[in-house]
Amino acid sequence: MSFKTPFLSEENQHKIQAITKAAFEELFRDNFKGLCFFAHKYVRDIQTSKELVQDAFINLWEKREGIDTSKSVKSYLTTIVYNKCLNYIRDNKKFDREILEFENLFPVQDNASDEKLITSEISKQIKDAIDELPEKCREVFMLSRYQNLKYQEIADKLMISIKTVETQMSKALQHLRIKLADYLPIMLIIVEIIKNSNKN
Amino acid sequence: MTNEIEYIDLISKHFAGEASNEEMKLLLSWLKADAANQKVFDDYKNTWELVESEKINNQISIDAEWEKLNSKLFMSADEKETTKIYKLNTERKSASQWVYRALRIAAVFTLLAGFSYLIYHYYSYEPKQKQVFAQTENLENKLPDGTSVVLHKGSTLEYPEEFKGNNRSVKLTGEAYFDVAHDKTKPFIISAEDLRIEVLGTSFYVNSNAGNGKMEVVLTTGKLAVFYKDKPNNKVILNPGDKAEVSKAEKTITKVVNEDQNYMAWKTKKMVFFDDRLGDIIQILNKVYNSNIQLKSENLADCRITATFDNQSLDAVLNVLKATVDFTINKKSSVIEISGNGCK
Repeated sequence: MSFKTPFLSEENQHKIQAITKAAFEELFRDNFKGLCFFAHKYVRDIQTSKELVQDAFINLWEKREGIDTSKSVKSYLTTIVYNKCLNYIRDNKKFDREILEFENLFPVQDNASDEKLITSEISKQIKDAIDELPEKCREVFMLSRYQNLKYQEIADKLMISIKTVETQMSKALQHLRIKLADYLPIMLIIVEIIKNSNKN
Repeated sequence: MTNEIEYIDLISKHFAGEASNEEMKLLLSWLKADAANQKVFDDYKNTWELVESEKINNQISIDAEWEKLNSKLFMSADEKETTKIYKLNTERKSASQWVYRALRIAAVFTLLAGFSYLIYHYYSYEPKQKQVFAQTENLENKLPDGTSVVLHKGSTLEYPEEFKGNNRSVKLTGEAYFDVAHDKTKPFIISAEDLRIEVLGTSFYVNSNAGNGKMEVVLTTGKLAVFYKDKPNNKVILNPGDKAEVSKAEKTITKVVNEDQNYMAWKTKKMVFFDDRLGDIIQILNKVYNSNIQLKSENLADCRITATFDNQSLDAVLNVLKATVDFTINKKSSVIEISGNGCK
């Protein structure tokens, strides 16, 4: 969705601002999660991701008159979020060009908001796959992924060695990779379907 | 591919943010050694991201985020506006200020147009239904009207993104505690199968599978009506402290005084036991702590216990019980077995 919409005819200046705000909200609703997911790859923390993306939208709103409408607003947003992420990891973590490279986080994708979002069917598959994990393995995985505990904290809580936590985490990941294999290649297609159905 | 398993440990450590500098270097050199390794890595990365995106998708509420941005951006802009107008009036007006003033008037029209657009927009679309499912633990959730709901593990709530029309209608499967925002003009209606619960701002507890084909509604504060969808004239009115017992098969609603002090324990972890059977207590504990405690000695079930717990850990609770009754606790992964000689 770009700001160049057919509604904005010259003789109807009154409406421009109003539709722009509505368009802004639509843009926000359509892209917020995708951008968060994109930011999460770099900063690995939902709270931080949300804040960075919020900032990017504020940035966009403040510059709404000066931006180049020939490019899509989405790729503009993606670039802001990307830069904010790099600044964040520079300031808060060690910045390693090599790591970004092998994770394919360099160079930036054009449209972060095309990031994979999840349908309820896939969501269910993921939940099922997690439920199938052996008891201990699931416990470790949930504590790490859903309660954000560090390996050491998990080890302390469950009274197991940190090595066991490592092993259980990688067991979980191996299981999920096999179980979700079918869903890996179609993730991008799903995004399109979700977006189209949202338009209705 | 030698010792791939070891590298999968490293890969998951890296994703979980647990890898040290040395481990990162090790991983990097492994990746560079063989293009096949990068392929393995990418597969794991995609898996990881799929799971993470599910989590992000569930943990982010677009409405809440938009509210946040809205208040940051548009509220403060309005405030700035008023200050500026005030300043203008105190000065002599130059030509450019007149233009400025004209623009201001135009801005008023713009705002009016904006409002009418929003109002049009508001009345012309159907809000999307949202579904929340408390998969692994109790889930606290705010509805668009400010009502707060705590869903018990395993329960599902469906509600619209926005309450339109003349009531606020949600659908519950399972067990939940509602604290309903007051709005006399829009009754809050909960559907649990064929049962309807209508409220005007109150807090209460609903369990749509209380076992034995029953449902339960317990009222904490306020007033509410419970009825079947096809018999809206047969309303049972509850007052605080009342409980409605609903038999699904017979379609009856019976009002009784709620004697179960622990009906909210799954949310508060506050429990009061007064001369209660250990067998019953274990059942309550299993529900409150999502645990799997099993009584291995039948003669323990009838031991009577009086105790109060306030948000304590399961271990702490079991230790207190153990001191009262004298049993042995045997933990086997997820199962906690309790055995002993029983009470005289």
